[in-house]
Amino acid sequence: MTLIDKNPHEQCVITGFAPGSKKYRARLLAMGLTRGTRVKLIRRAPMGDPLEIELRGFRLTLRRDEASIVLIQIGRHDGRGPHGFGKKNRGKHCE
Amino acid sequence: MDLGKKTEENIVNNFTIALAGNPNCGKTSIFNNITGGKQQIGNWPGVTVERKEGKLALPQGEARVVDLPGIYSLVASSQDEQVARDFLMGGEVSLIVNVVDSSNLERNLYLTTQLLELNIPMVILLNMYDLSIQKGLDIDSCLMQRLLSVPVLPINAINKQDNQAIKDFFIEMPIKKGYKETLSLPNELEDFLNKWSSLVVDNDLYIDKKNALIRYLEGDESYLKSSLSENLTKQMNQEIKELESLLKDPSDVILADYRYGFINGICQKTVRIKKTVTSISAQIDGVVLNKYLGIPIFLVVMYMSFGFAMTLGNYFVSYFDRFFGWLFVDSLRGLLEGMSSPQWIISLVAEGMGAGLQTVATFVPVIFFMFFILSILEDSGYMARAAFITDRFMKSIGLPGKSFVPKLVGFGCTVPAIMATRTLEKKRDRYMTIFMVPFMSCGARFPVYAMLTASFFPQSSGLIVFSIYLLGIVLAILTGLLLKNSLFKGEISEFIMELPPYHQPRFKHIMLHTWRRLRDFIFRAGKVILLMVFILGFFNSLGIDGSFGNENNDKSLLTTVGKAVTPVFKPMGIEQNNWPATVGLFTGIFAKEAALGTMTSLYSQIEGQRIEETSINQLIQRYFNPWSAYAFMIFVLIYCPCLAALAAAFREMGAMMTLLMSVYLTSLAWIGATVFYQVAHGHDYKWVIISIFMLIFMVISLRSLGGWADKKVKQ
Repeated sequence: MTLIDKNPHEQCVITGFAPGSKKYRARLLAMGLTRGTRVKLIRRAPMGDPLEIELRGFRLTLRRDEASIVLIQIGRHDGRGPHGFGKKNRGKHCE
Repeated sequence: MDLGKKTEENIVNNFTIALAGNPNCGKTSIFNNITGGKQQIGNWPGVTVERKEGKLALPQGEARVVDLPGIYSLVASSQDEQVARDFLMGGEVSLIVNVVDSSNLERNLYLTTQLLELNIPMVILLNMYDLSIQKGLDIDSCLMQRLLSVPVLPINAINKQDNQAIKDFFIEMPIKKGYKETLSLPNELEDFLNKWSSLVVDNDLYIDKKNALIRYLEGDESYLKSSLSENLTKQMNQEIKELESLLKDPSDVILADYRYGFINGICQKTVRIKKTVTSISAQIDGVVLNKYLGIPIFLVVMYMSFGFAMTLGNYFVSYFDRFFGWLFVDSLRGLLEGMSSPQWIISLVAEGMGAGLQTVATFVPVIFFMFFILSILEDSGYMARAAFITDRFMKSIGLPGKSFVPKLVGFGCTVPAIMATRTLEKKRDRYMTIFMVPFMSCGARFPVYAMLTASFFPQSSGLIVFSIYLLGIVLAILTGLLLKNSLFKGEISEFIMELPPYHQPRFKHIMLHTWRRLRDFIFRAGKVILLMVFILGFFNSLGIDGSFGNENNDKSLLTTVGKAVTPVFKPMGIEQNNWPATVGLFTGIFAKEAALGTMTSLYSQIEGQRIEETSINQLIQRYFNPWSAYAFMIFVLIYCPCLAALAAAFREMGAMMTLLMSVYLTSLAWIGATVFYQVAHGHDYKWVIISIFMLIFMVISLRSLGGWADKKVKQ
């Protein structure tokens, strides 16, 4: 299953890249589309292409051709622990 | 202008600060704030990526600040990334200032991980700190400083006080190498890197050998180009293949996984999510990018913004025209006559140079308002949305969605439209868009249509003019398809674009941007315009008897040439007695609306009478018939753009490409007008056949020039 096959506002997780898709991969990887990343399809453009997705707290648009190399699975699990941490000694000045 | 040289002389210790960061991270604001008014704008060598450089006074001396283009990664897959990488690797940089958007930390830190590997002293500015708090994030910058082992300062570039904080930070922070081994890679990969880094012979690399290998695996081969023999490279590539099959993933995917793994680690420790906020941007996009509302809203926004820009611009054009006409032409002539200068000097200076300056000046208001609006659209974040909405349509011509906007601007004026192509990243896309822009019928061509339609089609003038505009759009699309398959075959560029949050346009930023574009037009394109107007004006003024002051009369050299070439236009319905139309086409190259003035003044001279507006129509009816009038409009729509537009195109694409474009447009104009005239009225089908052959010849030529254009685009 790839990014283009899913319905808007369904949470899913990137599982990898389709083989032989080196062309767009460098940019997608730099943008943070790595394995285990949660993505959400926000919408398709009025003419059906490109797509708008949300990941890592920002929104990205990409064409169907580019989205079609991103393999996904539905769900929320991304193998990462939950955010949050214990007490921190905060302050304006750092060493 | 020699950028590098001019500043080096003034700098103590030659301390160079490079600002690096993602697009939309607020880098340019910081650059503007810390360098104040002292800036130099130029281009990076060999490319049209803008290079901004300024100075910053530090106690240890004056530092040079270079604003690198906004990039997502140092693996050079785009021109911007290449420029940034090459500068950072060039050995000049004393300090990297990595600007990070704190409201978008994870993705911004990806570049940070690559910068940290460069072995250059580095500091991080956590910009838009307030925005991250608004977004419900709480970032522990001190912990981040410890984890990354480089100084980190949270700031808000918009705040004036933070300006001083940044400067203090530069003064106080310890300058040390920012190197940090960020990645803990799988054993197999580590073994590979250790083995091969000892085999890399080049010791001149600024980057650690192991990191050079990492970049190689990420897809950037340039670091190792000279340091490995061909045999070793082959051997290494073989080992990479084995490694990839062992790890079951391409190496670039693995490395990105590990980079983001490292980033996730940092973020988990330093960022606390206090609350999740639905951003206002997301809510606005819910309407603006809506399936049904998206396109209508886009059209309304475009119509209103460019309508506003053109109305205001045109309002000032007549004042500018009159004032600078008075200043540069009439006053100058008066002055010279007062000094009893010879006629030829008056002609050269007043009608040549003065008229050139006047032409440049009349474009100033239009360009100013157009870029004012364009900057607002860009700065507010709407431009990215416009690209999103129009992308599907442009993709079929092989262009990115963003190229739609310069085309829209083209309906107002071709000059800012050509300049607006700079918003496109790839040269191929820019060139292709510039070729298509002249088909968008600009405001200056309208008076010509209006006059001819009023003379022949008073009942349906709206429909006739509309058909011309429509023809322009159709031809632009066909040209796009033709170029995609001939001259600019290159890959269709990717469209992986961030949708930045909307924000309120910053007035200062917009004025600065607009002023830069305007200055660029006046001083760079202006020179070419001046020269061309001077030459054309000279021939317009110079009579065949060697006398001067023959503008628009039948004794000037231009008229003589016009008469001589009129037979060329016979197939499209311009008879020999209609030579003023040919001369009008020549002066139309000054400015399209000038064609009208030339034609009416020449007609009235032939008829030997002063004429009123009503009888101009009658005059035109004597020289044209409805079919030749329409053919003439087709020609005016398509043929060689005006001097100002040519100068702008020359500035963007160089002489040969601009020449090719003018030849293409003018030939196509002749073909279009001839085919229409002969099919509709002339019925001399040999011209239609000749036209078809010309068209085929053009297509073949463009195809054969593909290789040459490919080289130009990749330069």
